[in-house]
Amino acid sequence: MSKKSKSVLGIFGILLGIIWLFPFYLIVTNSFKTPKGIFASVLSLPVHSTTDNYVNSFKALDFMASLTHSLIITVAAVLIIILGAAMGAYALQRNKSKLSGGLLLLFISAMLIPFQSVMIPLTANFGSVHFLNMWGLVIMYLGFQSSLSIFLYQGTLSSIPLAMDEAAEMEGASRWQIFYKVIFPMLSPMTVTVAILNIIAIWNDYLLPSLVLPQTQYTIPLQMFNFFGQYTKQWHLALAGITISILPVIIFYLIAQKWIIKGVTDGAVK
Amino acid sequence: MVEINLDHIYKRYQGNTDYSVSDFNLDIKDGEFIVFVGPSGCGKSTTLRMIAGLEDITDGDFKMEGKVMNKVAPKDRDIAMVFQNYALYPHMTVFDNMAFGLNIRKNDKADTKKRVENAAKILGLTDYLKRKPGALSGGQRQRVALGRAIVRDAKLFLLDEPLSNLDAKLRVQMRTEIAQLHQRLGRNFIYVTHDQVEAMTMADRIVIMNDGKIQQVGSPYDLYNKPVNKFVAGFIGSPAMNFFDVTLADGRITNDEGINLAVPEGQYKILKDKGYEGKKLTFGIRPEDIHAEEVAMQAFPDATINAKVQVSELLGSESMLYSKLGDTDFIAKVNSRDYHEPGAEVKMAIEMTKAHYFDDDTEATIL
Repeated sequence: MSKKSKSVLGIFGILLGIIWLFPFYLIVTNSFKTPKGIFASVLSLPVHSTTDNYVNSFKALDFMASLTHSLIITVAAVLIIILGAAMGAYALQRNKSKLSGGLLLLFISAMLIPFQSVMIPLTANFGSVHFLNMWGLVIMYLGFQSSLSIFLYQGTLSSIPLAMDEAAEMEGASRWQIFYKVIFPMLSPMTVTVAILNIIAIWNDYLLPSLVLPQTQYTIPLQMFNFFGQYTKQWHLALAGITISILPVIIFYLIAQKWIIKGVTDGAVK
Repeated sequence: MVEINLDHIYKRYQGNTDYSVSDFNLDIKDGEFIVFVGPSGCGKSTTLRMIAGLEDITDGDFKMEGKVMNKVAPKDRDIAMVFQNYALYPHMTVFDNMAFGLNIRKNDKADTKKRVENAAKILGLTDYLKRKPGALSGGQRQRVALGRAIVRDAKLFLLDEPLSNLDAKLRVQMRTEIAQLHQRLGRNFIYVTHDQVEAMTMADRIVIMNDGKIQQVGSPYDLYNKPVNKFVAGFIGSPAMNFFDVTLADGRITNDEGINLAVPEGQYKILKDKGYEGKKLTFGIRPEDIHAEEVAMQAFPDATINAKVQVSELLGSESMLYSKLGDTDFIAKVNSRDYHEPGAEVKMAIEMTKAHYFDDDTEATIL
């Protein structure tokens, strides 16, 4: 690549970065403004900066409670999805049969069904067995999110040679030991990917929780809706709330980054 | 005392009509180094995997110390295996890789440590125990795979083409190391390879296979000098034996491509007694038994051919003449002083006392 095209690409990248970061700039700067300040100038830095928005938003969101609900739902669903999808994909990939091929196809085709087409009957059914709560929601996520996760794991598993299983089997490992001592650790780069995809989808989800959760179990995105009434929109509180609510996700990212070690499967074979 | 018997073993994969391995019969003595050799797809790896327990045996018995092991799970067979691609666990250190089997079996921690360190010492891996496989060279990974087998102290070691991923120099070095390891451990080794040089240099006995059947079992010397059929004769030896289609008549073998050689009297008598007078047969001669030096022409005046050299390789002490006689290609391995440029017409003498003869139909050795 020539020097010129490199610098053009660089400038393009910087512009793209600014476009991406601009909403964050708006959210953070305006979260420190009074309502008047926001309407005076959205783009400027705060003139009379205040942290009141955070205190009020924290209270209005019932933040500790809604954070707990969000955390419980996300962590439980993601853990079950990871474990279930990894084991399911392992079984499907290693047992070559017509049944496993058909099941995989079924999982993949399930990804094509639009959520909106099933949400009403789904909630009606869960409602009829009085299961419209956090745990019902976790089960629904398991259904909606597993297909993609199984598909992703299956692809990675097909690149792990069967000799790994056989070597462990010869050494005396049981089927379960082979999975959790040898195969699952080798899947860890994919596990990080699966975790991130699911955490983003579940943490930010609004529609399904709004249909399923009782008010006592509201998650952060649901509580956030309180700032947007029919006649008034409390932007100053909403923006402070958004800033607080993305913090846990950013913290997770920083932790997860350590685990995204490229090429963790290097040196297994050959 | 570990005796291993493979008693009329058959293997047929589900959905196949043909047997991948048929009537495999072999008794292995205690401490023997056995090599299974043959071309790709000849059933040697399948046989090894049946011994390991990774494949079911369709028919026949596999016995260790007289006990039928067909239905015994791999982990209960007391067999250690080294895989072609090493199959090291990438997320574990070298130490943990080698200790894996012992840890699974809940072996005493101090004993495990002792055994791993001992194996590491034998294999020169002591400085690498804390590394992960990704930070090792190909040869070191191969050693870790061997180490994993050694620490188990199993009765039988299976090695499935363990050197095929190494470069030529390392392969020669590891070949010696494995042979030394076998002597040191005194255990039974079964080694699978498609490389006949590996088979010749390491084995106590070689089992040569083709199309799922044993062709011949014997010492490297026997296989080289007394092959039972054309396949074994052509497979063992590098470069391979040359074959010519000839007809035997009046004490000479001839064909219309320019072969007209006197058959030594003793050989002729046997061939004649077996009824080959006037019949077609295959004549085999090893490249090193074809000579191009002047003294050989004088020694074997009745057994010379005029061939055209196509390609020639000077290897230092000797040279290979890839030649053509009529439409038949053959190789002569001659002294480097008798090197000839490609395109040269060269008179060569054949040492007929070293000749082999094979039946044209059955390809079995006649003499």
